[in-house]
Amino acid sequence: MRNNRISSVTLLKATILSLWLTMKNLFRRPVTVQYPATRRPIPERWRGGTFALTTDKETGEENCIGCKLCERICPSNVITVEMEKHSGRGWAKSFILDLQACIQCELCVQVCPTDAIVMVYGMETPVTRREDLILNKEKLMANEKLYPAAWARGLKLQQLHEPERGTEEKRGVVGK
Amino acid sequence: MSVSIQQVIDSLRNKYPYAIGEIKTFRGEVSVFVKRELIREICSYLKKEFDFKFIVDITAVDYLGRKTPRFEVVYYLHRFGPDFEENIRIRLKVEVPEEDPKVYSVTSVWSGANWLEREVYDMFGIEFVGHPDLRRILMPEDYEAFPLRKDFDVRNREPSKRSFERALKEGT
Amino acid sequence: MGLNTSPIFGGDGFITTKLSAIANWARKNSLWPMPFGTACCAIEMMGVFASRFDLSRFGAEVARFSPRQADLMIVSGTITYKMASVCRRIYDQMPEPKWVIAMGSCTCGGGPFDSYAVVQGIDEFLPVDVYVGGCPPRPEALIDAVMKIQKKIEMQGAPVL
Repeated sequence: MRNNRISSVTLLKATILSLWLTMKNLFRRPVTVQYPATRRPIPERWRGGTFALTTDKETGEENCIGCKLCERICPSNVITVEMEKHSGRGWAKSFILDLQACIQCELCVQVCPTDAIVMVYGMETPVTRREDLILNKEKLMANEKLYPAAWARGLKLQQLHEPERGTEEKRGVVGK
Repeated sequence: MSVSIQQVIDSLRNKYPYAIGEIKTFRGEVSVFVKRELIREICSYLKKEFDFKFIVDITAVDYLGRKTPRFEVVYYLHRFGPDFEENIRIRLKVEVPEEDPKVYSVTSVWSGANWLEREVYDMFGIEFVGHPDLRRILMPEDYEAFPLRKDFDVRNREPSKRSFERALKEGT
Repeated sequence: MGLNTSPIFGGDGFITTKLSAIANWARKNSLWPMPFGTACCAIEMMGVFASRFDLSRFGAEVARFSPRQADLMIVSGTITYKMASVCRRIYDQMPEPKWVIAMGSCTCGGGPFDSYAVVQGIDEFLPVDVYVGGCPPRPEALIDAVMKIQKKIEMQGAPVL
């Protein structure tokens, strides 16, 4: 029982310490982000928000070839692509991305062989109708001009995943 | 008292020679097939003699179209030894036919088996004879299907919707 | 809003615009949310209530766990059919006028859970005002949603007295 007793000196010390913390916080700068006026910087490797379909910068053609890889890999089956073929390559006749069930796993970006689908630096926008969460091809193309594209691209991520080619001497790795 | 898993198996074989079926060992995990009628006796014997204090889990498997006794109820028992090496885990399996999905309850041996058996009843529809309070535990109480059976379509939301509408009518 | 010349009120005509504007202003700046958090989106919702994002700047910091005192329901997280009747009952207990935010993919459209137990979008049983997608949405997105609700309240007509 003796161990449970708190001496008055300890109690006084603890009280002064906690009051000192209160005093410190009284004069500290507030941590609140005044959201609509100032915004938090979005991190570089941002994964979230909405998507965009990109176009080629030189020719202005859309990059998507309608290969349906993103439709295949999507874990919640929100992407539906229809393909059509003319003028020597495939095109996406329609591209529907349903943000109602999207979990922003970025897998569709990772598998894209032509860097066509990317995520953008932008927040999720709240909508008042459920249909507005379904992004069709026109909305996805318009998103490219509205927001800057995020860091991750299909080819960039695939390069990171690839094992390095060549022997160790060729790559300049010296033995341990 | 140090006990090895081999001792447990040998004594089970001596005590219940007709109740013990096949014994499989896979990567150090032992599974023992047990006759359905004797599961409670074997469990209380293991608890009394070898101090298997802890029922880790009770679950079931549905072998629809693969095996003739359709269900298997699986019991994981654990024995806390004085040393880390003497912790023993044994798996008992009971084959349950589709026509008569009933097993004796082991709640009299471990009271912790209560909710585990309720979950198996909820998901597979296997009845536990002698269970004090056999109700559904996860799904609504008036739910009609058994969702983890292989012949249940996982995307079939109709039974859930029906019980939801019933709950709405009664509740408000 | 406007001149009211209904014969019930004597036909003299009076202007309701001032009263409704005041009522809407008061309602808009004192939204009391009822947090209905069932999954990971609720963590992000707590972030919105806490000091970093501080929903009290919009007058909505008093999270009321009694539905009788709340007028904005933030449904955040997966809603199963067993939970849905509870959710509906809580919504029914809230006094009028009331608004609902569906936060996260699971509440908007079921999310990745296309299964026997999960409701595919809470608008099957609730009238939803604002949907926020994302898994989970950032706190800023929820603040946007609250601002959208405020805008909606501002647009409302004469209050029900």
